[in-house]
Formats: sequence, structure tokens, C-alpha cells
Amino acid sequence: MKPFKYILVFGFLIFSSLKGQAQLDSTQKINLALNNASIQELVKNMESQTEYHFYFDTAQLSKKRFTIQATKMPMLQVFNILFTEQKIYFSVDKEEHVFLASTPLPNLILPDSYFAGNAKNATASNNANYSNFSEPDEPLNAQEALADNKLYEIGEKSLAGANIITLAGYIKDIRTGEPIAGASVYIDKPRIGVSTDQNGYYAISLPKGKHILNVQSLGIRDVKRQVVLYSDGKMNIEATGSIMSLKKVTISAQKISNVRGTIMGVQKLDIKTVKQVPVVFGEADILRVVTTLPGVKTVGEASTGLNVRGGSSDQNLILFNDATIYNPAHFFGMFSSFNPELINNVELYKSSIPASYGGRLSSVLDITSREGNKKEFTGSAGIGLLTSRVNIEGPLEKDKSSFILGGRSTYSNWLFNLMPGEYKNSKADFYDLNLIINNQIDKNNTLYFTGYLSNDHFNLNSDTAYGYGNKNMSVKWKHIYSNKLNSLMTAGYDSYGYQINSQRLPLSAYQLSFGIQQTYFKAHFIYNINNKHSIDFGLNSLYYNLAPGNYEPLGSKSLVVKDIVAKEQALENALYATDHFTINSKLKLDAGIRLSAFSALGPNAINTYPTGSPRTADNILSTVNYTNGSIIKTYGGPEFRLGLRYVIDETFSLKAGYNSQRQYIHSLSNTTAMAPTDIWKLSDPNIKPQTGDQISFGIYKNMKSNTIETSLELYYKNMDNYLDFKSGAKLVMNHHIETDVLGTQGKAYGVELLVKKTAGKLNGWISYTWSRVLLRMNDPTAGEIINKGQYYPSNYDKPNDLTLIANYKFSHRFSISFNSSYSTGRPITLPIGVFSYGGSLRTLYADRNAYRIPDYFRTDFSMNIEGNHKINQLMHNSWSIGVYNLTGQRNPYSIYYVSEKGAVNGYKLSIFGAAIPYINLNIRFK
Amino acid sequence: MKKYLNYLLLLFIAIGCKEKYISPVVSPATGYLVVEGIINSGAGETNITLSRTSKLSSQTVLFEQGAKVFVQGEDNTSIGLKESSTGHFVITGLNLNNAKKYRLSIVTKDGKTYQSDFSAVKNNPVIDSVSWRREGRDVQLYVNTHDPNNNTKYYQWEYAETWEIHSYYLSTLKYKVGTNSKGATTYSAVYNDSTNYGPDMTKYFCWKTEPSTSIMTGTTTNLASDVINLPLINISADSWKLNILYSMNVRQYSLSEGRYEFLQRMKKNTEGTGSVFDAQPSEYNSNIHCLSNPNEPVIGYVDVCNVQEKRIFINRKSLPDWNYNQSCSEVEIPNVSDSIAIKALFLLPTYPNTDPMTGRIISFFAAPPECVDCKLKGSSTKPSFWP
Repeated sequence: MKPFKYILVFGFLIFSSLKGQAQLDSTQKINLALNNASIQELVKNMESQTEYHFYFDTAQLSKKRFTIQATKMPMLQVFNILFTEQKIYFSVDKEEHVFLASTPLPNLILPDSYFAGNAKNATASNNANYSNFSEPDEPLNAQEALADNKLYEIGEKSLAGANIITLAGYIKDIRTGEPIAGASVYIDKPRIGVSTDQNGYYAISLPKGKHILNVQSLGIRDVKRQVVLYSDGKMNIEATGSIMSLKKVTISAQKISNVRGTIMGVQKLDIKTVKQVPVVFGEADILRVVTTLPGVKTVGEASTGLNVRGGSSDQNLILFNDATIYNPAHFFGMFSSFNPELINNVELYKSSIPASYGGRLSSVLDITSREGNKKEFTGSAGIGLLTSRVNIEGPLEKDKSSFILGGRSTYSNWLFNLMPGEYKNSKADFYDLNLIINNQIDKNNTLYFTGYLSNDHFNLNSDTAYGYGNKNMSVKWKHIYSNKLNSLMTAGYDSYGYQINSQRLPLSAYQLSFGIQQTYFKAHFIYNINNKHSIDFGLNSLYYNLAPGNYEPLGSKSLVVKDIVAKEQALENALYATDHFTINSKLKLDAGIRLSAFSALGPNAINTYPTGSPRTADNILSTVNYTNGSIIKTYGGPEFRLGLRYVIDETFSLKAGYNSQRQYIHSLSNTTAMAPTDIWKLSDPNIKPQTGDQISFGIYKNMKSNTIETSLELYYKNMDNYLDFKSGAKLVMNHHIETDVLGTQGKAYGVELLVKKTAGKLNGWISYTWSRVLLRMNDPTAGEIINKGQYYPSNYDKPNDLTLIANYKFSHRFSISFNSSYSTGRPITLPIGVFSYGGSLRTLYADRNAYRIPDYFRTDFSMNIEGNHKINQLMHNSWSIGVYNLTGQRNPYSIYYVSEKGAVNGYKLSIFGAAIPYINLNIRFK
Repeated sequence: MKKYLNYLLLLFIAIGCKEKYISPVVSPATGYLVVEGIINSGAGETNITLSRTSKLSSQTVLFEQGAKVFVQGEDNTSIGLKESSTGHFVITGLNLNNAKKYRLSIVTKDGKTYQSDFSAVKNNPVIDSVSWRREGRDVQLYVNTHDPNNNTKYYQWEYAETWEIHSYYLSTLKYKVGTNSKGATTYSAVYNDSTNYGPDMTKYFCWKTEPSTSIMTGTTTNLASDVINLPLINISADSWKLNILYSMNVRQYSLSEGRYEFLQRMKKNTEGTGSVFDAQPSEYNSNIHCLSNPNEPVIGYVDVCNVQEKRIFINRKSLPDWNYNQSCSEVEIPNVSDSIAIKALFLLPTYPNTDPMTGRIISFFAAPPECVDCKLKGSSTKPSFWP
């Protein structure tokens, strides 16, 4: 990589790519008087008189000297005099950026006459040239398509073959070699398109002949390739991706794919977008940004639990490179446990969940890490008020193998020191570590390794200590059999657990722990049959091992009796297949089926209860013992995943979908928010799997050259056997949890509107959701019915929800972001009366969730300031400075009544009751 | 868990904020019967309190007057309780048969009958000790109990704290209010006791008693033996409670599992709220039912045990570094009606400056009432148990 004067050029290219042809203003006249001036002096002079900005390679042009005397001379003439003589090539784009180079640019072989008279035609200053421009020393690999206007011949001309040719390859970032996932690869005539998988791999079946292949994705410039297909072949395409954090404008991958894809209700965010959104304490937080998307809610600010389209927080499958993260929160839910520096993109499926995913009712949040830089060692560090992080990445073997190692930690204890005396001894800390390695063994085989570790500890004034953590490991092997068939095999191990111990009272000092482990194997195949059918299919196998609770004495004086709730084991298998069927150029169908089967396995002892009467500990009929490995109970059935898309025109489509889901693992939590002490329970003969289905319909329309995306989605969803809890339910150390739970039905419906501007100085989105989530528990045999068996709103039923996220880029070094959200207050149960008992007045409650807390409104603001952009320096700094809750709104998190000193007092609790300023320093180094 | 939740609350308050909230919701008049108390199978007092639930905004207790309350045995015995004050029903020395089951029966003024389920007499071991120790600068009190038969399992405690109060100043004076010839009010400081000019000791020695206001329960179900030591109360450093002599009387009840659960739910619903992770309020598993309308909500769980009591004293002498500080100061006021009216009506006189010749009170010292008259803070009647 040769040094640039400004690597800002990449930022500009994004704009230029959108603007098309441009030219020098022939009326523009300038005055110049230079004698043996350097390029810098020349540019300075010209920039001071015109709106043009000049970009060039200092190394190339530093030796050039310029002499000119010009008075009110047209720009074109000046350029002619200056550049033709010196054999300097120039081009101009519509944004008035002038690019200069001394070497003839590949694919921009411009005759002198072009320079002399026809700058308009010389403006092939399109993207690809600058890809080359930035990489002049890079050897051109014949297979690495670099230029837009070169004609690529694929296959053997002499081979007489099929009329349908399969073209496959990888889309990669030209600078770092990272694959570009989720990119759309398509031709316009006839309309045929695919998207790249998470390794950047694509395979597309096209008619024999000449085509223009388009590649579009989040964070890369659009790429066009002219290809002539003779027989099956490969073509890797390098695209100019986002570099460093200079590029502040994100081009959405979905500018066309949101109209084209069959999948509904999928939201994709790239990390750049995530980083722009202001957040509390300034630590970029994926889950917080996800909550700004339509259809996603949380109960409040101290919760990272997501409620997607009316689902509870345990109904989301949170995957980090295929690993299930059971607790995605750090520090009481204030931060999510994903290091933003290592994330490439986040996809949230909330309606059409692909058949390859299963096991959760509401959504799949698929978080994909970046791959390390395959070309050079780089790193970054961030320093914030509560957290800091360091990441290192680089090649293990150049262009073949790379790694990223990232870690975050906190130093939040200062916060406690600010608190009243009795909390001074408290501590809370967390860390997370990620190691991601990928190795391209050969062109058909790639191996990926992901390791993830997160840990939280907090100690409450030396009384009770809490700790929890995730451990995850996975190995993935991608193999390409042929252009038509490739596979992904993944094996991994996930673990989550927590411990609580208390030593204050020696006689009852204890340690309580919970743990869940799962090992899994996934095989996923993608088979491109022809340009009408592409099938993906595979199998998932998941073995659960769950220790619901170990309660043990701590210390020699402790009288605590060791109590262990019997371990649970289960096997969840699924076979699935989806046919992506292009019926015609307008109609496309994704028909998927997932056959899932869940078997609870011995050893375990299962209680039986009489049917038709409430399950209580008193009416256990018998307890059946199952031996090791025996099947206790099998649940299973088909899950349907259907999606249909009808394209009305290029920018306008309609979609419909039907989805059904099964969930065999349930979190046991009767709290409003997701608490770190929530435990999980596997289905067994007494706990049925949760089931749900959803129908949805959507209208998608893009405007202004796809830079404005609009969508409207409607959904209706049913849930069954969702777990609620009886009054006074004991969730921890309960040997017969089935006596304390209630199977609840739920229904959710809503409308989601999204308007997204993906490009330009001003970008961002507005989302509005109207939705309801209603639950009902009306089974009289359960022993207790809630709200007389009527439907009642769930904790996260917030009908109106409006979010605005806007970013404005003033210059390449300065941008601001603004985030505002409004929602209806969440339902709460308020007391209806008081009574006296135990020396105090106490509150009387009646119907559940009959009232609401006041509406929620919050505005955040942040500024991002980049340091200087000289690429050859060792460090690049950037600052983000912002204010969370700018208006200091005291948004109630909850309203509660408590008996204190004999009286009942009502309080309104706001988590962030003031404007919270923050500052973060980010450093990149190499 | 509880601790954790409370703690979190505090953490968030540190960053966030907690404001008083008055519900705009107009709550319905409920008027459900609330029955508090336990049947004391031993020689001591059985106290049953009847009240009604009232509107949230009222914040007052509606005691249920004029009900008939009986302790009924499964052997058809029935003993009536006496209404000692509105809604409070008392009987002493039931001395019940430990082998029989008993229930509470209530006939309210409006003629409805309420009955608790029959409950067996629960064994209740004597309190081993009520102990205290310094934790930091604070004083922490514990109750310690064990059941050699290992079958009590569920406990509840209530306590009443009593402490002695001394006024900061002795007072020999009082104001005399009169009328002058023009009909205007006049003030003067005179001796309390014109015979010996001695101080009014009823303003100097007082005692204050406070009952516990939170529900304290304990269980030994997860312990190898039925031994419990439970923290009762933390007296924060330099509190006035321990300034002279302090006493705590602890009453211990043994509970059925049902009553334990009832109290746990009540504690969770009414004292354990306000964390970030609040659960939905629980319904009460009352064991008292309205016979004529089984669906009428009644709050109360009555069972039977021999109530145990234990009293301890803590003397200031055992806390040499205890440093309760009441800031009090006096001002000198001329014993002139106008001066008193202007400067001293919000103060109380303490002792005089007399003319050595005439003995007339020329001026006097005065201090804020709480420094002079302890009756403002407690009662001047010495409790019978006080040493």
C-alpha cells in the first residue's frame, strides 16, 4: 500500500459512485502565478480559488514542478498546460473532486486528446480506477476482477456446454481481504440474483453469453463486471470496502435487496451504522441499536432483553458466529457483551426466519464477526468512561490466513466510589475476549475458528458475590464441491453459567450455581440447481446438558445441606431444506421446511400428575425414573418457512410470508427485565415446547435511485405454551418447577413502517411501529388464572413506538448523530388500595398490567471527530463525544409502591434521570 | 437475590433518580377484610386485628369495629375474644390442647361469617438469645433459635424497640400567660414548682417504643439442622436509640408452610418492590374465607403456635465510643412580656437568672422545645419492664 496524501478519497468515492458522470466547469476561470511550485503549492492555490478538491499520491507527484502564469484562464486550459506536459492524468467527478496520477491508470487509458479537450469523457473516474489507484503495486490477478469496464471471459470458448452457466467466487474487500457477506450479486436482464454467504461466497446460474454482473453491499461501492460466459467458472471480485472509520456514510446492502429478497422482516445493520448511534457511556452497543429497529422493544433502559414482535426475551436466538450466547449483557444489562470492534454485521430475522435456524420463537439475531486483516498487522484501542478495549489483527499467512484478538474490560469501580459509604466496598467488573481465526486452505476449503469468553463479577458490599459468564467455541469448515454445490460444517460448544455466594451469615453461607452447556453440529449445503432453483438444506444437531441448580455450603461452619436439582439432558435435531424458486422474473418463492425433534434424555426422575387438576407438590401421582441415555419424551414436528415476493417494478415489490416455530428451552424468569440470575429449563413431559406461528405481509418501495427505502410490514402472530409463573413461584432450586409454571397463550399483531435514507450527507432512518402483545391464561385446571382469564397486555406491550436516527456529515472529519425515540409507556400493575399488616401499611394489587407508566421520550446526540488522516502515520485517533438523554428527560423505568417505616410510598424510578455526557477515544494503530 | 435487587436499585438511583409518585389513578373502594394475628396456644396474649382495605390515596387504616371473634377447636370448643379497642381483639391464656386443631371464626358487623382453615398447634422452640454485635460503627441485632427436634422449619419474628430519652436541658421554668389591664396577652417565665424551684423531670426522662414495621421470616428448610441466626435490625452509628439504655423485645412465631408463603408474598409485594427486575405482584394464599361468598378476597393467614418472647437491654456503657450528638443551644431572654413574645414563643424556658436580692427572674435561658421537653419525642411514662 503506497501512501496517499489523503485517504479520504475512499470516502469521496462513495459519493462519486452515486453521482455518475461529471465534468470540469468550463466557465470556471482562475489566476495562477507559479514558478517551480510543488504539487502541494499548486493544489493549494487552485483549491483556494475553486470548489474543487484535489487528490493525489504524494509519492508519485512530489518531484513534479509546475510553472504557470495564468490570468482568468479557464480551468480546462490550466489543466491542459499543467498536466499534459507533465504526463499527469486527471479526472473529475460530479462532487468536484479532482484525481491526479502520474501513471496511466489501468483501464483508464486516455489518449492525450481526451485530456486536451474532453474532460467530460475523461471522467471515467469511477470507482474501479481508484481501486487500482490505491493499489498500484498490487499484482493483478487475472481472476481477481478489478475493473468495471474490462470484459471478463469465463470458461472455455471451445467447450460446447449447457446453456446455463454457473459462475461462483468470492467477493472480498480489496484492502483487507475480508469477505463481504450478504452482498447482492445480480444481473438485470433477465433479472437473476443471489447474495453472498457469510464468507463472501456466491454462486449464480446465468444464461450463456454476455452479461453485466452487479455487486452491491453494505459498505462497499457498487461494482459492475462485464462478463462473457462460455462454461462454468470462477470469478473473485475485489470491492473497495469501508476503510478505517473514515467512511461515515453507509450504503445499505439492501438498497435493492430489500425490494428483491424474498425474506421479510429482516433488518441488517453494519457496524458502522451501529457505531454512529449515540449510546449511554459512549460504548457502541449492538443490542441497543437493534432496539431502535421497528418491531423491537425492551422493557426499559436497564435491560438488553429484546422483545421482538411481541416475543419474550428468551425467544430470541442470539448467535455470534454460530455460537449461542445465552446472556448477551454485561454490567446489569447496561452493555451488551459484543465487542463492537470485531463485529462485521448484525442481522435480525423477525418474521421470515430461514429454515436453517430454529429453536426460538421470535427472532434470530445473527451477529457475524469480521475476519482479520489478511494483508497487514493493525490494531485499535478504545478508551471510554467505563470500558476500554484493545484489538489486534493481522495475517497468519499473508492473503490466506488471519486472526483477530479482541478484549474489553471495565473500570467501573469509580462509580461505586462516588456512591454512599456503604457501597464503597462494592465491585463490579466484566471482560470479554474474542479470538477469530480464518484460514483459506485452498480455493475450495476454508476453516474458521471462533472463541468467545465473557465474564461478569459483582460483589455487593462484601456480602453476596455474583458472577456469570459465557464460553463459546466453534470451528467451521467451508468446502466448495463445485460451482453448484458448497457446504458449511460447523461444530461447537457453548456454555453459560452463573454463581452466587454469600458468606455474611456463617451458619447459612452458601454457593448457588447454574450452568448450561451445549454441543452442536451443523451441516449446511447450498445447491444451485439452475437459475430457477437454488436449494439449501442441512441438519442441525444439538445436545443440551443443563445443571438447573447446585446449592452448596460454603465454609466449615455452614449448615447448608447440599442440594442439587437433577441435571437435564436433551437432544434437539433438525433437518431442513429450502427451495429458492424463481418462478418468473417477477415472482419468487422461498419454500422451506424444518423438521425438528427434541428428546429429553435420562437420567432423570419425572413426576406425573393427575390430568385435569392443578399440578401441585401435593398431588404428584408418581415419580418415574429414567436411566442414563433413555428417551424420556420426544416432541417434534414440521416448521414451515414460506416467503413469496412479487416485484411490481425495479423499486417496488410486495412480499408475504408464513412462519412457524418451536422452542424447546425456556428461561425461567418472573421479572420484568432479563436478569443475570435467570435460569433455563428444557422441555420435559410436564413442560411442553413453546410453539408459535406468524403471517406477515409487506410492501417495499425504494425511491431516489434506491437511496431512500421505505417499507410497510404487517404481522399477526400466535404463541402457545409460553411460560408464566404462579403467584409465589419458586424458580431457583425447585425440584418440580412444573408446579409453579403456567402455560400462557399470546397473540401479537402490528404494523411497522420504516423510511431509511441510506446515502448522502444526511442519512438515517425513521421507524414507526404500532403493535400489541396480549397474553391470556385461562386454564382453570392450572390452579390459578390471571386477570379472570381475559387477555391482558404483556410487560412490553408498547403500542406506539417512533424512532428517528439521523447522521449528518459536515466534513470527513466531523459528523454528528442524533437519535430520538418515543414510545407508549409499558404496562405495569399498580396498587388499587392499602391495608395494614405487620406494623405497616401495605399495598393491595388487583389486575395484572392494568395501568401504564408515562410515555417514554429520549433524545441523544453525538459528535464524531476524526484526527488527521495521513495514512502513513502509526496512529489514527478519533473521538466521540456525546450526550445521552440530551433533554434530561426523567423517563420512568418503573413506578412502584413500597412500604417503608410503616407507610406506603409511591416512587417513579428513572434509570437515567439526567443528561449523561460521555467521551470516547478510539485509536487505531499498525 | 433480594439483596441484589435492592442493591441494583440503589446503583441506578445513583445514576438515575427516584422521585415521589402520586398515582393519578382513582382507585376503587375495595373494603376487603384483613385479618392479622396468630392464635397463641400458650399462656400469653392472643391479638387479632381486623381492618379493611382502603383507597390507595387514603393512607389510613380502617379498623373493623364491632365484630365477634372466636377461637374454635375441632372439638367444638369456642372461646370469644374481647375487643380491647376498635378492631383489636384480645384474649390471654388460651392454653390450647396441642393435639387438637383450631381456627378463627369472625362474624362481622354486617353479618358475614369468615373462618380460617383449621390449623394444628405448631411447636415453637424458645428463643436461644437475642444478641448484638458491632458491625463497623453500627450495632446489628440478631435473633438466635434452634429446634432440637429439627421440625419447626419456618419462623417469623416481630420486635418492639424501646429506648430511654433524656432532654438536653433540665427545665425549672414554664411560661405563664396572662392578660394585662388593656386586655392584651402577657407572657412571663415562672417556676414550674413554686415551692422548691426544682426541674420538671417529666420533661427530662422519656421512653420511646417503636414496633417493627417489616416482615421478618426465616426458614431452615435448606439447612442440615434447625438452627437459625437472623439479622433483625441495624442501628446506624451514633443513633439516639443507644444514647442511654435500649431494649428490644422479640416475639417469635413458628409458622406453617402456608403462612410462611403468605408472609413471603406480602413481603415481596410490599417491601421488595422497586428493583429493576420486579416480578409481578403475587396473589395471597389466604386461609380465611367468607362463608357466604367464597370468592370475596380476604387477606389473612391465621395459624396456631405458642408465642415465644425474649427481651434484651443494651446499655450505653457497653458502647463507649457511641457518639450521639443532639445539637442544642440556649439564648438568654429578658423576662419581659414583649421580649418573650418576640423571641421566645417558639422556645421553651430552661433555667432563670434571678435577682440575688429579690429572687425575681430577671431573665432566663430558652432552647428549642425538642431540647427541653422529651415528651415531644416519647412518653414520660416509664415502661413496666424498665429497670
